[in-house]
Amino acid sequence: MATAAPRAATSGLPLFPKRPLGRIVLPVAGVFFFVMIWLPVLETFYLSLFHKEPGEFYFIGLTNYARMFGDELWRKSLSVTITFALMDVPAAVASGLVVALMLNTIKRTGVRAIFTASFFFAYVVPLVAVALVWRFMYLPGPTGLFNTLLGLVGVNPIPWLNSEEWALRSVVILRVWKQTGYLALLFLAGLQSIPAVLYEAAAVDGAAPWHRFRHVTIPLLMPTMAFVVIIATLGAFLTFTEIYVMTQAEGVGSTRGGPNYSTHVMAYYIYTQAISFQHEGFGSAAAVIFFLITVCIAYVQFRFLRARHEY
Amino acid sequence: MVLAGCLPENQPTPTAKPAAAPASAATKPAGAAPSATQPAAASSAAAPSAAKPSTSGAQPTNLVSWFTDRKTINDMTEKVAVPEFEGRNPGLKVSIQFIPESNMLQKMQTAKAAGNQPDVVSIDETYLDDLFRNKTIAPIPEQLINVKQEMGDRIGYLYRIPLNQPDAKYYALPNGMFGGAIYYNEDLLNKYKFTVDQIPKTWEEFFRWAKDLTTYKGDAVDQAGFAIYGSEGTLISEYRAQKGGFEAGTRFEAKDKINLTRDVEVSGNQFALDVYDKWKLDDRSGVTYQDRFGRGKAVTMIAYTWNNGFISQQFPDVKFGTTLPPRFEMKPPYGEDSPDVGFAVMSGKDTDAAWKLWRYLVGPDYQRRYAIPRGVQPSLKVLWKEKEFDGSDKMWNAVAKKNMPPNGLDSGFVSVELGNILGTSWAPIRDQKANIKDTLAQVEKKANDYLKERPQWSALTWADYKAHPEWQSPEG
Amino acid sequence: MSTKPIAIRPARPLTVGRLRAQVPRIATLVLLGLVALVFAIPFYWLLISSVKTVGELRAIPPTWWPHTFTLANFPRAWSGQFGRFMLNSFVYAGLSTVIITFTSSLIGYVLIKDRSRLGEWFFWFVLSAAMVPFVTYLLPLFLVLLKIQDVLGVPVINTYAGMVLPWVVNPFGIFLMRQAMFGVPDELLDAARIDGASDFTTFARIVFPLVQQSAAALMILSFIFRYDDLLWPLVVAQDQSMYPVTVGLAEFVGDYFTELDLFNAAALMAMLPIAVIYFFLQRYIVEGIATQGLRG
Repeated sequence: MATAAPRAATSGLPLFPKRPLGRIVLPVAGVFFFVMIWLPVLETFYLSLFHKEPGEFYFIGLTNYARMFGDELWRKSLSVTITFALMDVPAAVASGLVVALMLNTIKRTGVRAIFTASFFFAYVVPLVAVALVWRFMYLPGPTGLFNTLLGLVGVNPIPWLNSEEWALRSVVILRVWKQTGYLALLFLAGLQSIPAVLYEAAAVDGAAPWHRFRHVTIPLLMPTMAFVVIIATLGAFLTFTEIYVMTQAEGVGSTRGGPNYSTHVMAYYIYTQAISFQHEGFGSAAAVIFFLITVCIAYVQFRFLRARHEY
Repeated sequence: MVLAGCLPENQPTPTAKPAAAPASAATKPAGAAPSATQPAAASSAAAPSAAKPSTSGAQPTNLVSWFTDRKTINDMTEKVAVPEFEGRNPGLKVSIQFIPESNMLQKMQTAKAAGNQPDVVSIDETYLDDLFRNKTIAPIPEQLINVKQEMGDRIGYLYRIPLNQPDAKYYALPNGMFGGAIYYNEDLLNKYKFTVDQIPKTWEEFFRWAKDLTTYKGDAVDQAGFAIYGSEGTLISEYRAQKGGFEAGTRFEAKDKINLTRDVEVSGNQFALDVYDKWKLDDRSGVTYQDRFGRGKAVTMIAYTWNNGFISQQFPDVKFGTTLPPRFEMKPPYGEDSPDVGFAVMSGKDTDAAWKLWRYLVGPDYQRRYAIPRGVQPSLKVLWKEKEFDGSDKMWNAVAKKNMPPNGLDSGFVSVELGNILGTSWAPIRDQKANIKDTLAQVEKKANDYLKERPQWSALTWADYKAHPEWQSPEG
Repeated sequence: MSTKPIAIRPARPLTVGRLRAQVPRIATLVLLGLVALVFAIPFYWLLISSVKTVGELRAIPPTWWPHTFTLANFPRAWSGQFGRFMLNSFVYAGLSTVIITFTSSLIGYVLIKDRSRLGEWFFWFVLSAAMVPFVTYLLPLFLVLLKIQDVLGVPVINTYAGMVLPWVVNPFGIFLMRQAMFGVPDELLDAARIDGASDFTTFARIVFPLVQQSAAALMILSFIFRYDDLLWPLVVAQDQSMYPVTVGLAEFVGDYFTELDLFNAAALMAMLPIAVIYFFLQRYIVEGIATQGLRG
């Protein structure tokens, strides 16, 4: 954090930038930014109070919300989203942490960089391509790669994406695979910032490796851990692409979201309501609630970022 | 879930009509954004604005057409039909894009909102209600086609929307009818020295016959005598139609009320479960009927006939044919059939040129080439006299026979959202051993809640059949 | 994030004791290698699948090494619209990247080197927007673009401009470049100004070269992220001629028809640009991500 500046006291600053460049850039960027993000966000709130479908537009107050809370599919989507996060976050974080701890034992930076890079590669490759490739590896019965691998160790084939029970888990497995390298990288950064002196001191005191891990690593890794958990949670909540390209509702050509809506996450619910079915007012109401939920999570992330970069 | 509370039953036409467009006036009403800065727009329906010049003039007119992405049909459309159409209509050029069915609805709506809509599209019948409601598609000019004469009374009745209203118009018509059929693997049939005619004609015998052809690896089915996983809905609807007849075979008691808890429904679900548990002709391992059949691991399967295209594209090595599903009694209806809708012209694009293309696509030359790869018996009766469609064709005899009135039961069709609701009953019954009647009752309640807001004009009821006895005659 | 200096230890004589001490470390290394191998399986699978024939792709059980090796899938997959999709992706991701890098650097510069209360407010205004999930304002954003299209009378939806527009001012970029500006010494700027250089010239000639490192990281990351976009292009790119490769691929796998042989080749080709970038420039990526942990 060599470059981090001390948190600036805003009180002593002039109201406007001193030089012309700043006086042009900030307002222009501000307006642009407002139009592209905050205006649409405000409009989401606004539209949520209307009945709006193509050709129909009138005020209905909070009726959309009332209907939404009564909509079984909305409740299902919310519960799928939460279930998904509850499976995805611990699994991905644990996987990332284990890999990071292993990476951290490698002392030669070159070797470590190679391993880090190879894990991280999965994170940068385009998700759409990867998710589609996985969709075929998940083919049920004896035809897909995964079932073939399971067959080698004598496990019965799993119906993966085709079954209500397994569809969401299948998406979780893909995400764990995709994110491990990324989360490991964040953990690794945290591990490396633990001063070696502390380990040495512990070693001098005769602490066994496990004790060093328990009493030095874990406490000092906690801030990183919290940060990673929040990032992973947010990512899990916003999952859309995997659902869109991988899961299909059984027997219905025109919707996705897995057998019996088992992978029908909130982001996809909003997308179908607002975009596909053009229930624009209703979809906006769903978006507002989702906005509030994710902003709560993101706000915590934001606080952490601030803590990390602005002290 | 849906916002149609404002609409009276059976009358989905809102009074405001911003989008109904004369031939050349390109409109851009649907998504016109009443943004937060423009609260004035709130009080009125989104008004048409900013007309853009539409394609016209002496230059060759370019028509953009979106086809549902189906490989076998795509090739025919691209290489045969379009050149033929362009040859017959100098000055018209057609550019085609193939869109996966699951993206079509979303793409049509957003493109329409942005004024980028194509001229002619192929749509699924499940979209028809939404598209009509949102005025995304244009009504078919009356003089272009005499539906009752060319396609029969049932189609002429059902597709004039809003149903039974004086101002009703046609928007899209079915290319033809699908039906459930038994697909057989010709090589396997030969291997066991059976001919098609020897496939038993009643269910009990059929199951017993298929049992002998089923092989196992441990507990798992290796070769299915009769593959149904993923296709159970078809089996159940065949059962329902055969047992229930035209009366109980239609699930709708009225346009806004569905009944899923009748005996025929419960025993139909049990009938499908029996294939797994009693007869053990297939298993729950998750391998779909198509996958098993396509990989030569099923002697027969039950499937809707759109699988014609799927199997021949996806599994070109499998030689297959279709035959009528077994029955309980030798009288119609022999099973269910359902429509394949159809082509439509986008509103705002309803030019003469677009209708010319539409009429070509809904004409015998295109439909003849389209019907079998798509798996439908064409709606155009003029084609029924041809060899492929008179019931003698090997691949086609099942559907040709079954889908000619009065042999099949057409129960109409429903919206995507309702279809999704109805689709939720089977998985718990199959996979979690949920009580059939309770599960169906729950789904029935959900469906009826939905129907209260969105009655399905497009669902055919027993009342419809009673009011139209001619549908049960060959002339229907 | 400062990288830790490596402790260089003097060579010590090899003893049995030291060897024993090495065992857990070697075991970890082997274990790590195995895990890495497991993680690589999907890539291996894709790689061999892309050079198999249709028949072999359907074999039960699947083959671990192609019996007949073919490269024919690649030109066939490329032949349709795929080249166009790739081009669109490059234009979309490339254009966004260039613009984001420019606006982010400029704004970062103004925020740090010409500090004001307005600037501070602006920064929080920007950062708070990073919390808003895209899907929640997707529909109104589309409506806003429609409005712009109506008011200006030029097409926006279904154009490159419309695709890029939402990303022009990017919180992640501004955040990253603002951080970088702390490292630029004020004395240099003062010197330039004394020489009579305008503020923009100072930025372009003096400041930007100094923050190249961060700018490179930003460019690479934003290219990768935009290349990966599905949701926005799904709505804004309405004609097939405008699809980026993500939308193209998602549609390649139609509902019922998948040409598996072509798909594998297409997926591999879609990954290739990112793989190449990653191979040569991963240092920037890894550092950029490790520092920020914030996705644009």
